[in-house]
Amino acid sequence: MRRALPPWPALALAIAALAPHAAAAQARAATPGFSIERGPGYKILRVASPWPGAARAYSYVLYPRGSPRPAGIRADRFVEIPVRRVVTFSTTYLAQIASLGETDSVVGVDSAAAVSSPELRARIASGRIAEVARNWAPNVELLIALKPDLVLAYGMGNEWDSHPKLEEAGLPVVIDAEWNENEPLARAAWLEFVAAFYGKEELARGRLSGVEAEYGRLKELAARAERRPWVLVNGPFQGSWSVSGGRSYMARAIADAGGAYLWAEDGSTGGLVLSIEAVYARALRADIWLNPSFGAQRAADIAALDPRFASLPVLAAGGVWNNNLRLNGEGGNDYFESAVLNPHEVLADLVAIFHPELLPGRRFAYYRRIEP
Amino acid sequence: MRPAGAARGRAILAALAAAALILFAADLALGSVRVPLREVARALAGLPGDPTSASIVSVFRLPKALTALAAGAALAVSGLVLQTLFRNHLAGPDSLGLGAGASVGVALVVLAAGGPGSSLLAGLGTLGYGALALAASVGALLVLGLILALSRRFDDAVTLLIVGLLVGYLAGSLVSVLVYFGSPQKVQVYLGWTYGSFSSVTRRELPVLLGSVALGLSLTARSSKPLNALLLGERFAEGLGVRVRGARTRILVAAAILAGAATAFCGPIAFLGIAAPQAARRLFRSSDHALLIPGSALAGSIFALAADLASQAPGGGAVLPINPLLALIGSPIILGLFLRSSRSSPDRV
Repeated sequence: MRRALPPWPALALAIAALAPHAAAAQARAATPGFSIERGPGYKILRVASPWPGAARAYSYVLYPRGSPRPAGIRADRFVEIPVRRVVTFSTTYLAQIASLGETDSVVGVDSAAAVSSPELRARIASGRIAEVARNWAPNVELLIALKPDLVLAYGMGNEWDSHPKLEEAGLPVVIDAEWNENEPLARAAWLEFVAAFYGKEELARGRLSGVEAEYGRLKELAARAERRPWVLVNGPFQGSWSVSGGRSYMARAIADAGGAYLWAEDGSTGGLVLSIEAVYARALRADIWLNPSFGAQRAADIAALDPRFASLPVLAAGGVWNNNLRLNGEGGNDYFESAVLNPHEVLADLVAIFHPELLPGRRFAYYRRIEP
Repeated sequence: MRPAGAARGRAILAALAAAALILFAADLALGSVRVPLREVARALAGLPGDPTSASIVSVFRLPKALTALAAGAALAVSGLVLQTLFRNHLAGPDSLGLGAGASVGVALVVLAAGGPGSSLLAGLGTLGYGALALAASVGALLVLGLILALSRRFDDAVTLLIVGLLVGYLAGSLVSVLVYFGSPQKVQVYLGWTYGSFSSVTRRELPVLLGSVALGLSLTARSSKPLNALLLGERFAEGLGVRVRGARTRILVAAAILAGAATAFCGPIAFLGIAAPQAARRLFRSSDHALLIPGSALAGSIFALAADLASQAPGGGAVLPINPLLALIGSPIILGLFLRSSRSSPDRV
């Protein structure tokens, strides 16, 4: 659920209303915002833009366990690898670590309820993995007692960030900025960033090239569609409606799947907080409505969001889909855990939603239809 | 009151009513989506026209404008009577912790009930909206009762405000603890509510809001004489033949209903309760509640409608949150009124 929450209303308002970063983020294109540089006996991981509008980059020096710490290099942190005791502050890192076969290294997670993987849930239940935060407030004492050699966290550049406190406590925090990418494949590429801490970049690149090939194949398939449906995203929230920007991750995924995003002309990468009447005017045109709310599973849930949107033609036509096919019963959603790792599965879901004839009989990975 | 003063008061009331009416009409006519005036008029009159324009006006703009009108009036009048009751110009639903008390009621209802939706009242139904308004009003009333009981032990104005502040903190902490144990989704819903908004009120909720505000306003309107007498002190009021106890209970209940209903549906809105009655006092230069009650109500509605109009300022459909805008628009106006009245005549309560 961690992933679900960074676009809090507060954050969304701040980003959308003030949006000074939009142009800067646009230049990043498909290459991810990190680099790996290799030196004699070490490698340097650089995170160019840890969060939107960040004033500084981060660099981490990784060197083999047991060998002396490289001298004469400046870095934000030196990490001995392979890491053995890892704490994660986002469920997406868990899916990446699991895909590298390193689940044994996880000793702490920020929210137990958000975890979807049955294997990890079993470890949490048996006490092998600790819950180190509650409602976004980290338990620093518990974290210190866990003696992690890596704390994978993210930053948003605002007062909700927990990494400054963790750094102050002397914990080995590394900022992973995968959420800040505006393209599905660039997000997926952060698998290699995580893999570097285990010395498994090779494995990661192998997996990624398969993902990229499949993504490309699906994108070409979708390009053959004759008609591109109009797509609406997200849902009303307390009198306003935050939609994804026209240059955002979501806008890109929709375009790649052969959809026509209703705010495609917008130039921002974050969210746009719009008045509900502005959204309503465009929503009347929508053929498909994606992700109306975290929990919505039935038509009644849509009416409960705001009864004014229950009469949209898209709902009656059965065009509403939510990315919560795999919920864990405690509000955790596997989409926010493993979708970053599997952009091709997300794309295939979207292609099957937009153009059912192109992928007949698709067994959906993340999306469920909300029956009218 | 001298006839000249009464005429002046009536003229100001008429001007305020006209301003509120113009802003109300503007709030219906202007929005993120361009709707021709003709279509606005057709939609309001229920005549056939462009269906999109019709639903934007009748489903979105009308409830929003009515909510701003009602909530603005409610908070302003609640603030006015609290200022009189406590004989303190800094008293208001916010500074005395009524908003925090109402929040406890709302948090209890939201975290205990409610569906999976992102709307605060998801799955509650009309009965639920009533329950929410009631819970918020009871929360506000409990805080008010506590402060009133405590205020008897302290005589000075500053102590009262400190007591209000402490009780507000107490209620606020109670909310924080409740929220801490809620699910992340519910917490997010609750946090969204705390931003304050006029546009989340739907036509199904509107009757409960308007009904509560009408009840609170009518209770207050019946109390303008005792309020005038209370200005001079309780003993003096009793000497004038006012049944202080009964009047005070009625006024307290009215203030709690007004603050509770507005808070339940629009979120905690801080500025109006203190500022609008101040604006009315400066405009009327009178302490007659027969003028100040409608005057404050209109001033509150004007501020609320102006803030709602200004929230669309970014253009392109983007909206700003209401709470900061209220203070942004209101503070300079009230400062201006203060400066003017301090130059003309030193003004008492």
